[in-house]
Amino acid sequence: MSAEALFCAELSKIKRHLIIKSVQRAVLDASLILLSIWAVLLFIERLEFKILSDNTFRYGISIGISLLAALLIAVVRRKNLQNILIDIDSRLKFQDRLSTAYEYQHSGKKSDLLAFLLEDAAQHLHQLQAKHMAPTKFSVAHLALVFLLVLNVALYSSDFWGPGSRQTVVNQEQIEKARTLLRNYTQSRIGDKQAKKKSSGNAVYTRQLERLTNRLNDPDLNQDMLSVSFNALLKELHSEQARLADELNAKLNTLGIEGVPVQPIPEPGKLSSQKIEKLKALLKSALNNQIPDSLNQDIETLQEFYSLQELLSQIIDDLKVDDSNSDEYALSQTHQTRMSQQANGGKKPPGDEQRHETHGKISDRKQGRAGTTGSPASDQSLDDGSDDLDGSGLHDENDLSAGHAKSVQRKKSRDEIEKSTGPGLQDKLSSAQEEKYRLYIRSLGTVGESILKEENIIQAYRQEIENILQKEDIPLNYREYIKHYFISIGLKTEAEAYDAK
Amino acid sequence: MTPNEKTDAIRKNFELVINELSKIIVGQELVTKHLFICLLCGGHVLIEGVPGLGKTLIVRSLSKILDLAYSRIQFTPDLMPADILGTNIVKEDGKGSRYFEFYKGPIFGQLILADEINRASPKTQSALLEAMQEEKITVFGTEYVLEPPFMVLATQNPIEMEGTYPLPEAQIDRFFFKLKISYPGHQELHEIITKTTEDYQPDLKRVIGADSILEMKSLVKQVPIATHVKDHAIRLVLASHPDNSDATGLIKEYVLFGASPRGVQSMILAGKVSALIDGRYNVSIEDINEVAKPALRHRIALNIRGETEGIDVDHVVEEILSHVQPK
Repeated sequence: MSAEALFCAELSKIKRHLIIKSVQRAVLDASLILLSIWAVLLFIERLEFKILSDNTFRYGISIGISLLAALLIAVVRRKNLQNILIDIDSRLKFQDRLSTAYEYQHSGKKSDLLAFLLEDAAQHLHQLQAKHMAPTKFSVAHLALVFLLVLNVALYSSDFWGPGSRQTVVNQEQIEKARTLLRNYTQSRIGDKQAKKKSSGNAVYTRQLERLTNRLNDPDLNQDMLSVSFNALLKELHSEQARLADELNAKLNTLGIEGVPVQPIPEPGKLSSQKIEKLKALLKSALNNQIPDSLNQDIETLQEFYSLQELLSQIIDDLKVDDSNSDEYALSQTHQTRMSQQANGGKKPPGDEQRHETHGKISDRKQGRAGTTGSPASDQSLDDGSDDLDGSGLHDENDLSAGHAKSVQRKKSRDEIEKSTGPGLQDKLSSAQEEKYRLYIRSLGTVGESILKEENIIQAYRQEIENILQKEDIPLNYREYIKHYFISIGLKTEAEAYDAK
Repeated sequence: MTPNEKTDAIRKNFELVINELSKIIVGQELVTKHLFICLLCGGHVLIEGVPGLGKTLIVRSLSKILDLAYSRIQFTPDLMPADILGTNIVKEDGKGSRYFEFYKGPIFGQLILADEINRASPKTQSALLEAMQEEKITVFGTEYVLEPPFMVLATQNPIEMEGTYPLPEAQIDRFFFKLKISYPGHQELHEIITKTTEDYQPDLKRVIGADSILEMKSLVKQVPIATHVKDHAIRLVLASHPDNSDATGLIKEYVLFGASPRGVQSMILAGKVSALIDGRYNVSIEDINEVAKPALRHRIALNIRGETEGIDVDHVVEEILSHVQPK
């Protein structure tokens, strides 16, 4: 065998080894990229952003990207054999034998000593072991691979062993049943509404329920989407309640009826204490967006909830049906109330207080949040949350029971301005605590028609405001807010206010 | 003679020369190796050292080992170019007619010792220029080719400045190597005393003839050298230039101008011989680095600041070698 053939044979060994090394490196790069992508996806999913819902598609895409990127990196990082031989020469102190021999053999340069050089290089290559050709070093890439592996395992295992995942696997059947129940429920509700459609003419509510049913009939509906649908349904119920209450309130205000007794709840006494407790739990959990908790219940419990939910819907329907009759009923009730007040020398009838208390309880049940104790203070503090839920931001317990008796403080401020002829404005503050300081304001009437002097009205307003602002429990920023509000409507400056006084 | 035989001959001859020289010269192995390299490369050597270190002795011993025509020129301030090159003299034949006959000077040898070359005037020094570069001389319009192998070994004293004429840069550049003879150590001095103060008469043999030298010289240029090794030599030379991007702060501060292209030629040729001596058939980066000092030290000129601050050119070359790493 000639020196050149011997050298080429030895070189081919190096080439084979380098190809294996390149493939190993590409696999390492691909693994790094793949694990990075998976870690990012898992992390994003933990933040509840859904990028790719289909697992097969997601894994296919990520593996494809990783392999493509690793291939590109391998192509970019590709070294020619000459540089590899130079590296071997310098590492193994071969004094540039291999690189010089390869260059002369590869480029066809002539030299009298070339044959001896090739033979010499081949001998050195023959002594070379595979581990010396391209030694594997524990590099940063290996360290990163270990780190990413641990990170992925941690993210995946926490996801797998987490309560959500376990319950998803175990309660898949229950979720399906709940979905069926919910679908049947909404369909029955739509059927009821369509039956009443001709009489009530409330097409908007029916359309909303139809849309909800269509969403529930979607075969691709997963757990998250199911939760969203539950939330949407509850929002619809809540907003419908609020809307009916608003309508009733507006009609009562138009008729000038101040106090209307709350429509008694249909046969609440017949509810067993166990059902009342369950109703409480349902309302606390379901109306407070605790749908996943509700889903964790047994299917029997869900069926009971379903019956209770039907009861709730009947209550809402009754409120809606009674909406048309509320005018006559409110007039008669106002008359009765005024008569009883005159007879009691301005005192409220005991039944009124009881009614108010009862209504408060019911409205608390309607708008209360899970985790609260049910006390009036805690229920009030949760009103802001319910406003966010239904999106209106203005409905509170008084809105739902429009026309019931107002507080003494409100009545007092109202008496002072009741002779004014301008349109009424109600300053509603979203905070439950500020509700205690609700003011009724009337705009200025037409010049010459006013019974009270403007100065008197302003003075009365000012006193009221000062009293309120003196309260220590009003936060500073609210004080400024209130002050600026009243300055903007008439009390322009402090100096002017004093001048007017 | 096959190339392999020639390569073996180079190694053997080198060992013979070193062994013979070691009979007279104590230590200085690197100097003797570089002398041998210069001989095979066809270059000339400038040997620098303080008096008494055996500069002249090395050259005289080498002339005895090599079977070459040896001449010695003692450079003095009144030495004229004709004293080196030779001159035409008037001769008269038997018929009474006169004619000019060229009387060859000491330059017509093969191994020329130009002792204390810096003591002659620049005019006389420049008489060597043509001979060193082209291995021929021109006298009165007539060219005379010098017999190969032709090698000039010049010596100079670096500390004695009185009555000396520093060699012009053009002439310095024509020296292949500049070798520095260092002080011997304690053990070497012991050996020197033993050899010189006792009855020691070494018998030096002529080990290499002119033909062998020419055959070995023909093989030197056949030694393969890789492109990256050439690049390394080029980068070394370029780094010696103060205006080059690879130049270090020391070079920018103290160097007036760097090595010429003859510096690269010297390094690569010397590297080839070094590889052959080492039993290899290719030039390595280590070969280039090994010969960088003698090949570059006389080609780098320090500026006035470097001269006044006493910067050693060898230190500059070391800086270049440490800065320019093989790619």
